[in-house]
Amino acid sequence: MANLKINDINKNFGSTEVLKGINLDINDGDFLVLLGPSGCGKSTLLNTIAGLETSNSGEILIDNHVVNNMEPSDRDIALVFQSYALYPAMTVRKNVTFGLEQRKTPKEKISEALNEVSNLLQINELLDRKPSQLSGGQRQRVAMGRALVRHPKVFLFDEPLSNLDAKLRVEMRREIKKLHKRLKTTIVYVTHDQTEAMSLGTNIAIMDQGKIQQCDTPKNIYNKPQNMFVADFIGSPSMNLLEGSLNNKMFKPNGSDNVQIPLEKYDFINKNINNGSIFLGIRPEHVYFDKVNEDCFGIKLKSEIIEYTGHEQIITFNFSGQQFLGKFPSTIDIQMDKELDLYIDLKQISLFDKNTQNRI
Amino acid sequence: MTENNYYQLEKSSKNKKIIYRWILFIILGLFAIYYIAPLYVMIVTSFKTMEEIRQGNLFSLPSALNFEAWDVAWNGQGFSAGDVFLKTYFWNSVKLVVPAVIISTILGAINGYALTKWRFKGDSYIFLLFLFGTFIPYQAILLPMSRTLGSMGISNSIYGLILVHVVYGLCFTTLFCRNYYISISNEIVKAARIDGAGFFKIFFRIILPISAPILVVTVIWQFTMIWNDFLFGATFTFGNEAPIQVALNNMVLTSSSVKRYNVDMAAAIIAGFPTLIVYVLAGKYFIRGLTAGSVKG
Amino acid sequence: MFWLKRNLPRLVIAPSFGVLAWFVYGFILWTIYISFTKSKLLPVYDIWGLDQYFRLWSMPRWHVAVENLFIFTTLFIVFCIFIGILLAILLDQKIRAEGFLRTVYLYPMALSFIVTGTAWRWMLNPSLGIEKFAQDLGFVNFTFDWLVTPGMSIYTIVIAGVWQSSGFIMAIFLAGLRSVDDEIIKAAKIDGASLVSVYTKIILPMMRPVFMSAIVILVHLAIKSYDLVIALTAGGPGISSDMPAVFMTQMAFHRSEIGLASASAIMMFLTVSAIVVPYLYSELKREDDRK
Repeated sequence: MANLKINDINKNFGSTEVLKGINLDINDGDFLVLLGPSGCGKSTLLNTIAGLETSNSGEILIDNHVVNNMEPSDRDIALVFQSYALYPAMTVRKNVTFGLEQRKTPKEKISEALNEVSNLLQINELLDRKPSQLSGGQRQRVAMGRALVRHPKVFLFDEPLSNLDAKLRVEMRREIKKLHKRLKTTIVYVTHDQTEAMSLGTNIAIMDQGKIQQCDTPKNIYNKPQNMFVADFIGSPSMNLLEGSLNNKMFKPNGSDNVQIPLEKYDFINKNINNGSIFLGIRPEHVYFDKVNEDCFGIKLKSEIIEYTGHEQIITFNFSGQQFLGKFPSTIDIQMDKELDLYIDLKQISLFDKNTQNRI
Repeated sequence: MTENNYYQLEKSSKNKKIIYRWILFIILGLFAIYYIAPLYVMIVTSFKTMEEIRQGNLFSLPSALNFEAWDVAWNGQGFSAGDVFLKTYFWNSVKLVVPAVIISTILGAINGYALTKWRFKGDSYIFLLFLFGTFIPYQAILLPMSRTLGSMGISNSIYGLILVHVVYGLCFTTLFCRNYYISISNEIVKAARIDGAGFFKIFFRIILPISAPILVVTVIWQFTMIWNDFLFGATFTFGNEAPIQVALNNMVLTSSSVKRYNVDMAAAIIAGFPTLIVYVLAGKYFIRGLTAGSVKG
Repeated sequence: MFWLKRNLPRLVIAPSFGVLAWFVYGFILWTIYISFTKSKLLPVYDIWGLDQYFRLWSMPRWHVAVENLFIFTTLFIVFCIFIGILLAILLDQKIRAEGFLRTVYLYPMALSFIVTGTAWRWMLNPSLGIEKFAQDLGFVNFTFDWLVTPGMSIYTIVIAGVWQSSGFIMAIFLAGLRSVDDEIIKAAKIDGASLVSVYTKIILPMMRPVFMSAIVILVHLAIKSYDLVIALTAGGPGISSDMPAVFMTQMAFHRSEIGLASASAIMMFLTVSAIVVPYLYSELKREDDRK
């Protein structure tokens, strides 16, 4: 078990920059999730950590050793692949022990390690089967067994659950969480599924266009997004972003003449506030029909569309021409095409500068 | 692990890599020479005079570009009897290849289309018959074929050979097209049927326009097969009706007083030239045809 | 009208199907029938039983042909597959000149067996070919006269055949290697497998279907081989490099023994079928499983 440090990694494929100055610091026992849309560079970063790809500049340190010029097998890492990448011509047993055999581990040690992981992952009965005879969930377990058996310093996961159906995915997610709690290993986990990221990670690094947009705990990522990309990317439905202007700690949404939202209680990062165009972000679940606390601000909006999903309903309102969503329990009746009284919780808002797109 | 160990690991793996790389290139290079050598020998020999051939060795370059052997191979020496040259036979092969390729390709395309997009009872058995047909040793059909050509009055003629090549090429062209069309979504055909298009309209307006990749493969395959055929040509034709490979073989085997290796080599290059050109220009499709023909079903 | 529309696909297939049924399967049946008769120059239709087959198997020449076929097929397959795999694996190492090398290795496949035979016949001829080249280099006692030595001439056919076809085997193995999931190779790298064991333990065992295809194609090519023998040795010296395909043509068109020729053709047909039928069966089953 070890820490992992990534210092200013850059990577080009020809003229396209895939990774632009990535810095990450992952402590021993951390579960870091790399989250981002497809093509953001998260898998490339993972492959670079594994040593399957080389970076153009920058350093990777595992356990405080620079590993840039080391072969993947010498880095003492394990990687669980999206396709599982089980060796088709070998039995499960062979698949799990192949890595140890290549390292000339003594026979007794191998069978010991095999016993340990097959008990841990409950794959005892599968050991003599071929990968083609396994179900998706079983393959997933074997792939994890192959990674676990070597007790590597760092575990890497490349979208390991994306080939499973919805139900199995939730189960396996919990298994991975359990394993991490038990083994306390350092994990780097790539996914594009935010629920997976939120529920698994002790830290999440959100990536877009080859850069880390924000690296923080799941709570901070959700509640205090550092820029509009993160605000928009996390949460479903995503955060309402109302365009407007800031003047003397008052927010005036574009298109409405009489609404002024007071921002005295907002915790500005920079105490010298510049007036100008900004976005006010509020999550749909922080919009209410009742005044739930002292910081609520009342507005009158016209309801337009209702989307009923079973456990909740999402209402689209018209906020002076801007789309505004609210999420409510499915137990209440809401009338459409009507002006309704709503309250937004000002403690939960985020403000972003229109030019820099960063949190202010 | 200590710092030192890490360092050594890096160094040894780098040196190893360079050595591996060199071994790799040497082996690949040696094989390249093995494959290129015969072509090289053919070319240099064709430009030598017989005197040079007797004096020099296999790989030496000719003293000058001497086209005499090429002229003899193509036009002959001007004897009236026993003079074999390629000109007539080359054009025989062209006249044979063009119609045979076109007919067998069109039939193959339409068969493949009917077998995959308009499934009917027993279609998979019909396909099996075509598939097995690509494997039969032609010796098992030579005798009845020559009798049939005779009774049709087209033995020893280009038309007879066209028929033979269309018949036995049909299995390959149907197989190629069927394997290609099976990967095209059936929903396209369903959509077109709902839009009111019929069997032929769907073929000509929808399927054929997206068939270019497989038609190229099929045409190249058939062209190569028919141009390079010797067995059918030698069995069903003789004299002036023979295709080029038969003529080349006759020319080389004619045991006239002295062997003229330079003429033989020039003739061999001429006989191999069209397929070589196709291979160089469209090698990608050529390989695809070979693999399509091998990974069957 | 409706009937016509319904049955149009069958009607379109019908001519090709008819041609196939008549010219392929009908002809094979005819040949089988003739192999049971006494036919000489012209077919006679009185059944004579299996006598042509007994005659065939009592002929020393046929035994030479079958033995040669066995030698040729074995060596042809072994060398083609060995060279094909070797080159495919080497080319798979991210070589910069791959496109060029692939072209070079594969071009002989574009040449006919007659052209191939003509070229090698010249190179292997003892008086002016490779033998003389080696002697000129100073290896005065070097002899390489297999082409004109009975018992050895069959090996020259192997040399030329391997030259012509091994590039093709390289191509199908390369296609097979390229279809291996990239993640499997990455996983093996992380597991610490050396390059050699990545290939011997993981990738080549995955190539079983490719091996099967390659062997079937090569056997099939070997049994049909006629052109190459004619162009290179013409079955000679004497009958020492005779092969079943040459034997059949000789009997059918030069010796007026069409009953015997038919029997030998059917032997070839049965041999091919014995290899191809199980292969096709397993291939089609695999395709069904995928569905």
